[in-house]
Amino acid sequence: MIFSEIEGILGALILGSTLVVQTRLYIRPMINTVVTQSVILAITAAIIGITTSDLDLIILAALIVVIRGVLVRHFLSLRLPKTRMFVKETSHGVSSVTMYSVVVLILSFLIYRYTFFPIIQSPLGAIGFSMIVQGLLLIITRRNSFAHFIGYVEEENGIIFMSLTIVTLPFLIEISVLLDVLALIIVGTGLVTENVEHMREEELMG
Amino acid sequence: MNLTILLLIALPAVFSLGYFSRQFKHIAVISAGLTLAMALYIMVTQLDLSGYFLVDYLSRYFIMAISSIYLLSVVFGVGYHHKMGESRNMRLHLSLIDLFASSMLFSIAVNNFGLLWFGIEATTVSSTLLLVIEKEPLKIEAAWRYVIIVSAGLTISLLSVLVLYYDFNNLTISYLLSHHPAYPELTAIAAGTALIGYGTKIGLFPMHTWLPDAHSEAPSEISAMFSGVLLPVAIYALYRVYEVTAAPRITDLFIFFGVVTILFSTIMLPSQRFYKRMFAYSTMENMGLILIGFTIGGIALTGALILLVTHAFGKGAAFYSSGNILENYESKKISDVTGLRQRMPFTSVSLILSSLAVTGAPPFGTFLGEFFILTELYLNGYFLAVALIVVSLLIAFASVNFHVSRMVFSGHDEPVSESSRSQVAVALSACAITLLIPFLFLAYGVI
Repeated sequence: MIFSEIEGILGALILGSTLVVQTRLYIRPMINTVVTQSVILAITAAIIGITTSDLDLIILAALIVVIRGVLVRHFLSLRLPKTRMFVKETSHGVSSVTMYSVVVLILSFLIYRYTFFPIIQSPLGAIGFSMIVQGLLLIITRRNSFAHFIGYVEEENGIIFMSLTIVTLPFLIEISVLLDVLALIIVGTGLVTENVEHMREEELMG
Repeated sequence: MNLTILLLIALPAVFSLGYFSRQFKHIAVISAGLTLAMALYIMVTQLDLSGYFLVDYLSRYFIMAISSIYLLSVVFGVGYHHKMGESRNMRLHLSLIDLFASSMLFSIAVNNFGLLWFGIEATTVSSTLLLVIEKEPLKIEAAWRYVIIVSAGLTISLLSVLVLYYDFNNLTISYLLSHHPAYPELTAIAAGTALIGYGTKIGLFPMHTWLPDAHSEAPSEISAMFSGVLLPVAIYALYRVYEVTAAPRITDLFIFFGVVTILFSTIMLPSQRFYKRMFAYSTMENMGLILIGFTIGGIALTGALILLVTHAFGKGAAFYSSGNILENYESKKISDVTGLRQRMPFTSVSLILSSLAVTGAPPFGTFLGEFFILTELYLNGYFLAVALIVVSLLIAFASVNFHVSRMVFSGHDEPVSESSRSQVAVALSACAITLLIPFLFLAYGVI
């Protein structure tokens, strides 16, 4: 009982971090928040692993810390322009972004309530599902390459949280997902240029 | 027998180490040649497997198409990028093509929904840098859009893997195909999320936005691989999920998305100003049709297979020809290309033939494939869909061939300036194979 309550509290913290990421306008704090989110996710996996005596989940927790907590932060920080201390998202203000994300959060809870929940009966799964949607929202609403990456990492964190709370995927698949994020971050950071904002290009229209 | 498939997947991956050799170009061609030889062996022996790998009649066609386009693209790429010599970028480019082919073959052969998802995502990782062999800002922007939009979409299809695992407590494709789900309502969610996720990779409307950008900015041999085989590999993944989750409302949903994609691409085609972008929209149209063919089944499934294989070679030829034109005219604009018939006589032939092939003109296999798909749709009572598709196909045919005719037949007295022999030979041989495909299907006993 107490473990499920801890799981719920960790879930609430993860959800909170998801909303904090949405309201961040500076990239470095955004990266730090998503790293914190990944660490909370790892703690969740470790606690579930300990309570169910599942060694795979404990290893998964360690890998989440190493890959998403350390390596992803390292690779993203490497590409932050050194000439500018603070890279700021310019496409939106805090108030509009907060409003979008709260509306989308409520919508995602409702979708989960009427699609997954009647069969799966896991209320915590809604947190994972809303993280996926919030990650997508971040990618859609921002122009900054780093924000896109962070949105993607959030989405993948959401999938892992859903997997932890609904049905744990086979270890091989979980590892594949983790490695996939790392590979994508490495490849993607190669594309991040000095100009980190994406604008409309005439030749890429129509 | 699993060893045959393992070798087929491992061969290009191992040969990608050619990066470290001075003979890297020869190694890449040998790798592609050996892969095609193995694919031919699998096709001729009609290899059937269901263990760690799943190989059946369907996957054999995909394996054949991937291996063939892989070889043609490597040969074309070696000629097309000859100015890059033995540079690090060129080495990386050919090595990544090997890894890209390997990841596609892995996706087709693997017998597990989780690993299939991983394979599809691996194709994204391995192919992203292929777009930016020349580090131009526009290409980097297109590659960025590709990697972010496709990866974000594919994460949604991972949700379908999760749901399927909850439903069946197993992810082995052959197991799921032979068992009933514990919660049939959940399979509908799996189908829907797979449609959005894999649909992003296939380029279904409205998740298609990366597709025209990536196809128009990628080097031509990569555009050929994307259009000819990468998108069909994503269709394969979606079809495997559909096989497990098929229900009347899911069929309707898939057909709806297929039809909307065809309609959208048809609306976009007449106003295109860039020829590679035009072929990208034509790919969307063909993918919509192939998806409908796989969904409706029956004779349409045969039609979809014929369309898929013919389109792979036809669109390959269209992009190889586009590459040759771009090399000579140094412009992607349709209006900038005039007098192609005089300036590039062989390329103009391959461009016309390939354009006719991808727009479903007889006697190409695409015509046969489209006919089979429309017949099955009609027999199943989808009259409105048939009407909309027929009108769309006519508009698409007129649009593409009008633009191509303008490029080929306008202007005059241009000096002859063809691309290298290997590039022209690749484009022409892809056209020739496109013409032969209906006969190959006849010989193989499919029709």
